[in-house]
Amino acid sequence: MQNVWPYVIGAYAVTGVGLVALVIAVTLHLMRWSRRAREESQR
Amino acid sequence: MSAVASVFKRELALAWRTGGPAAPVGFFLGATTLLPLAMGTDRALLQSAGPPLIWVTAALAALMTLERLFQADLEDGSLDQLLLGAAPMELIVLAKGAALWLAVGLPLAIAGAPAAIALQTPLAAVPAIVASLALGMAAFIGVGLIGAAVTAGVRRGGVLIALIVLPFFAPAIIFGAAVAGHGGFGAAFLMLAGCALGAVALGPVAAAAALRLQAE
Amino acid sequence: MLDALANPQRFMAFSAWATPALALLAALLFAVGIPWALVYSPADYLQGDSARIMYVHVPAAWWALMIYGFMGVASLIGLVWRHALADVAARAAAPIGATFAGLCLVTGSIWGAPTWGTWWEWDGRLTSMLVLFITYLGYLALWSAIEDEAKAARLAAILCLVGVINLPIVHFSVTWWSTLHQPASVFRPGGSAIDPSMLAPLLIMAGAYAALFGALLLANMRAAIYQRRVEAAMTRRARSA
Repeated sequence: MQNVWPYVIGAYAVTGVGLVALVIAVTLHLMRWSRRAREESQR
Repeated sequence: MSAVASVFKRELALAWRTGGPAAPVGFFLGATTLLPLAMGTDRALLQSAGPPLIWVTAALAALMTLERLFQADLEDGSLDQLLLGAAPMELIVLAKGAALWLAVGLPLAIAGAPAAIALQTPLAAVPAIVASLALGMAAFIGVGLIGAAVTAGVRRGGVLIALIVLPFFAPAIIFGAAVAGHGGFGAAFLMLAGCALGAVALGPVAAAAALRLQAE
Repeated sequence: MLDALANPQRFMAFSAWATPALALLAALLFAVGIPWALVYSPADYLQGDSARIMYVHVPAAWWALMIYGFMGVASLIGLVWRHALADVAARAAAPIGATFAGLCLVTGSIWGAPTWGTWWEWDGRLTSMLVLFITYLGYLALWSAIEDEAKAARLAAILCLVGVINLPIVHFSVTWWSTLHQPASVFRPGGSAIDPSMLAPLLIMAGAYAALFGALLLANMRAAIYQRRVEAAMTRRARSA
């Protein structure tokens, strides 16, 4: 019976990286536009 | 009804004047003969790789012709004229698609015969391949109408059309390759016919909706 | 409640607290779900520990499908009622759904390597899921390619609706074609066939993905509304200059 744990860890790692990357991208996107909106309203 | 017929005739005449099936069929035959040159003469290998190659090349040839389908009409204002006319846009789009099938799809299907023979397909299977290609091109065009309509205003939208339309080509390619591989006129052929029917029925409807939006 | 959210002002007020709340909920559910899935849940009697991949693969698959369905509904509302917030919602959901679909394919491939002995197989479920992923990409590409926001929204909505036909194909692919991917174990007539000791962490993870989708969806929608405000202000300034 082969050791499947590398695969399990690999799958969870890929998922973690993917989801974290998505969260970071969305957060940065939101921060960028909320900052610009604040600047616009102050003009 | 006559507006639809005149669109159909005009599209055929245009296709004929701009070389008709020459470019897509030329590409199709060229690409399918390229494989045997690259693969060598292993008969069994050619027989298994042949059908998928024929179908992928046919799909790519269809994409080539779809790219500019509505672009010119959008740019020169004839799209607005067609929308203002009495004939329903869905029928006009269907007429364009039908003309494209007659001018390119059917010749390409017939060209499938020499291509299949070059790829060492047994002679008995060739009629099924030609018939399935005719259906397949109808399916590609039906679905491609949607992609062309939705990307009509985009500059250099060729790759975009391919990306959008590829998922919907998948069923036709799957069943078509199955027919070419070993299916004859069996279950896969019927499924392919179903895909073609569905694409021809629904494609013009969605495409017409998109074209109305393009003209706003 | 949806009516209350239809107004952009009220939506911004709602999402101001709802986004962090959902993010917190997601973090909590992942914090509970992942250890449960990795350590405390039982190993499968056939597949052993590799079945633990199910807890990241299946929720990603479920939500990739449901998000596309959400986009379909939003697209329909945007087309029929010309509701700007509906268009925003569809666009905002797309990258999340695409990511989940991609993760489903990758984790599924990793799961298949030790269990089926192959990294990929052209069976019905995998093929239709790949088609869904490509459809997501085409949808995103179309939005980016068209400059006019309103026109992009309408055309992308049509594309999204045409692609809805793939959803039943993905779901029923395992019943229509019995090839490699295992048949439905949860969403099937007669109810779930999974043991409760595995169903519980699976549902927790599904809830985690759901909360994450909610938080990210609202965040993307907020960003889109800010973006529209900025562009409107810039247009106003350019006109009065």
